[in-house]
Amino acid sequence: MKMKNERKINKKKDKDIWMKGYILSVSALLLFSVVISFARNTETLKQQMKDSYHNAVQISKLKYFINDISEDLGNLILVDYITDNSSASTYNINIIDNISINKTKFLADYSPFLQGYGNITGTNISFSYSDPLIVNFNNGMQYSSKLEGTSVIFRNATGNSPITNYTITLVANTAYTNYTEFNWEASGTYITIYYSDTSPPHTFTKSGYINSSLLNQFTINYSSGNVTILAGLVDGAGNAIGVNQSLPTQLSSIIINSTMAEALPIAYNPSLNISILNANYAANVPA
Amino acid sequence: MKNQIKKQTENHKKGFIVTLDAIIALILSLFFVSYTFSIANSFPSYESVSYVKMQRIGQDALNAMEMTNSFGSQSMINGIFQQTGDQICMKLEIYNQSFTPSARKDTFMKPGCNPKKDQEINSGDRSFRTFYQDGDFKYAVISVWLKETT
Repeated sequence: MKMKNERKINKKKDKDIWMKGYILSVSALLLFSVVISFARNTETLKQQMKDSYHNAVQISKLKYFINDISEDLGNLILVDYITDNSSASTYNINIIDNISINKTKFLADYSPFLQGYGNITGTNISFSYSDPLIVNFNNGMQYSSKLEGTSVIFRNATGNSPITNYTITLVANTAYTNYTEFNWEASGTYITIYYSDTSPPHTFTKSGYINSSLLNQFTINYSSGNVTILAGLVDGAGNAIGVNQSLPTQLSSIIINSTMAEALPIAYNPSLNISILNANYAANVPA
Repeated sequence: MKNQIKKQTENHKKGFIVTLDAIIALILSLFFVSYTFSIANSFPSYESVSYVKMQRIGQDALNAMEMTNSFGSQSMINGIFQQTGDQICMKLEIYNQSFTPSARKDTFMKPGCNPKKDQEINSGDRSFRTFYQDGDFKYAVISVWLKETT
């Protein structure tokens, strides 16, 4: 009887110990689960922070590469602008076309060079271009320059140009022999021409009004070839300005200055595709 | 005698369970500790943030140099170097067309900086910029590091 009671007590004791062990194990597992769940949440949060940080770095790098390429194209045609004194939304725009650089060679060499740049910076870069090289403005104006340097035109792509005052500066490599002026009018679009050449140096300045709905030509002759400034109706575009020159080219640079309201350069026509990990840019090169 | 053997067997059984429990607890604890450490190591470190800052400073300097046509002019490059503050060290290298040792054309070191003394330069610290000069495309490569303060 005594033994039976003892066995019963022992059995109960064992059962209590097992119960305690079970409760302790379950508590420990619950504690671990809670801590691991917190750790996982923290990890997710930190991963999100890390991803957004990496994305910001990639986007910043992308912006840097685009700016770099845009600066390189600025060697060919640079569009510079400042706010005009008359109004904050009116800009004085300078288009500097560097004719002395062989644009065909520049652009042909540039594509493989950019691929090499991509290889050393861990970036995929593809660049494609066409003739002529164009700079588009947000008001529809367009500056277009043939790669061989024989023709440039600044016009509105969809209608008449709103510009009332153009200044064109021509710098030539050789001395001119003579020139034939525009048919100057009493009113219309005001054109100023600054001309200079280098051997021996000559300069002249001409200005006046032209009829913007007719083609007007100012021709500068050289011992071989000529340069013609076109103003008014040029290639079907009203109130435009342009320059044609024969080969071999005489001019080393053409600068067109004008004042326009709400007009800023947007992009060159060459297209650019850059990808750095998750960040990607596929559009024209910003001007 | 029979009871003693039974007690011994029960003790062995208990010992086995306690050991198994301890091993499971140890495995769980190790798993938890290693998991926590792995999370801690996955955070962006101070070094990586600092590295990005160094790259940005390098990129800004290269941008300023290209916009001001400074590549090739020691005095203009030094002028931009000086704008970056005393604690920042820089080394600018110019490469002709390709990024190879034989194509390296010029090296400009910010005055007062010594890469061997300050910090070993590795490829990760470099920022690149392309530019056009004298009819050729070139690379400007800048290395930026913090000056060692003694």
